[in-house]
Amino acid sequence: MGIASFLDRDHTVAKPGYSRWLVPPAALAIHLSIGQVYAFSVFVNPLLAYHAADGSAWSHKEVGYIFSLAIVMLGLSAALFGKWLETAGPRKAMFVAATCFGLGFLVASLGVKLHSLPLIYLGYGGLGGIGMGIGYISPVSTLIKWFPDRPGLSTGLAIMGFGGGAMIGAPLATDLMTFFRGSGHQPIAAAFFCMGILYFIFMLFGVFTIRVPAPGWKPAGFVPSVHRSAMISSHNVTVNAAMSTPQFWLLWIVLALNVTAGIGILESAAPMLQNLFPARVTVIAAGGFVGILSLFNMGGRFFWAALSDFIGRKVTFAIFFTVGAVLYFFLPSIALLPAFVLVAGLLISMYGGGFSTIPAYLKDLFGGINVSAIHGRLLTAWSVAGVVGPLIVNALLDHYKAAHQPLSQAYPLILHIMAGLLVLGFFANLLVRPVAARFWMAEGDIAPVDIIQH
Amino acid sequence: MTRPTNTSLDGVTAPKPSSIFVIALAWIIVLFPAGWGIYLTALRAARLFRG
Repeated sequence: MGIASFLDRDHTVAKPGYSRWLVPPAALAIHLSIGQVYAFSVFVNPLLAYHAADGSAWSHKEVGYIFSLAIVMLGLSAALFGKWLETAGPRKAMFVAATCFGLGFLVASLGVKLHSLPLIYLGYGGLGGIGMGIGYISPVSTLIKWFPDRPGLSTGLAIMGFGGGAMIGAPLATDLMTFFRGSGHQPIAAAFFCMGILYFIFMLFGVFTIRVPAPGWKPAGFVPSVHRSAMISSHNVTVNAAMSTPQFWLLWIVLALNVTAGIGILESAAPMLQNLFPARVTVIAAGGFVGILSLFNMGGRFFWAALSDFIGRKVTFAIFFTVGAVLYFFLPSIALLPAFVLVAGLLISMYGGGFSTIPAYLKDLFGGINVSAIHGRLLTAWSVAGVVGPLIVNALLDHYKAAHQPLSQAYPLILHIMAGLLVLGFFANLLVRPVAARFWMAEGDIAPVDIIQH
Repeated sequence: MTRPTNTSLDGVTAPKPSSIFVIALAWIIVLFPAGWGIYLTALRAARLFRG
């Protein structure tokens, strides 16, 4: 069997007896790897300090574009390749993701060695970003098909990996750069090279392990509820039809607002804590606050998505938008440090929970067959929020700086704006209704391999 | 204790289920690096309350 046919969807169909509990580790291998992008900041200072032979160096802005480009490419490739992924199958998509992500590091390594910023943009930002986008959506519909009884739990497990990826990526990059310092190799280039190889191998574990369920497969003893909620459709919608429904755009707004609010706090967590608790929090301690938020971000992705299987997606998002808005509003007035940290952590858990609950929400509304493609298109909301969130925060901070006013006065306003955004999100979520019958796919449009219990 | 078999009494080969060992190994492979990352992050997080 050649490599091409090994990657085919047909060769990915699980044999009888295959345990569905092997699928989440496959998805985690991909998400824990591509989640490295959130640890890219550890390369920023070394890249700024790195000079070419002629003594030239890169500016903060130029280095910052590497991360921004990767995130933009993530959103774009998820939107563009989602439809291809549904026909190519998860194994081929994961292989392409692993190749692009690994190769991206290798090209970026060459770029560092030659002190060529365009090569780093092409490598980490371009190729790496495409790998991240395809990798992010590749296991989603497969997990939903294996876990029709617990779609939230299964996608939560995978997307939790994306939140945890930075926890591996940051110390790995730091340790590698330390290891290669004084070895004769350029430490950043060598770290990029090793990470490209290591992540490629780790992602191949997902490629080899992933399987799709056989047509008609369902978990032992699973009987789809006849009294299902009106918000859970038993019909499927194509990706193009989904984009012409109001539900898609309402969920787009829901995700965009939830992410914008979360990024607002994540982006400036350490300086915010130092400004609000000036006498008590050092720079090192503020770094610890970022660590706590990372743990809540990761845990929230699993907890809220798993909980949504029991309380419903709409209710879960309603909690994010009501409890979240109240907590954001009162956060700046909390004077007790442990209480402040706990509330901020809870807010970040809801930010992560939004990412992991949205695929199951899409599956409920649009069916499971095209969920990866629809999810890919919806992730453009993330790209937009990734620009808008920091823009709001930085514009306000710049305004206070220019007016020579203390930044501690800017944060309450920032957090109150985030509370307002969540209130808007509450109404967008409230307007979500079941998809009208005219958007449903006809039975004949569904390929036999896709007729599985959704 | 009898060894588990994948042949049923009527001679028809039943599907062989994935072994617990394989499932556990798959989870260990992914959770080991994740656990290392969580441990280091937890150490970093503890700095907040150490001051």
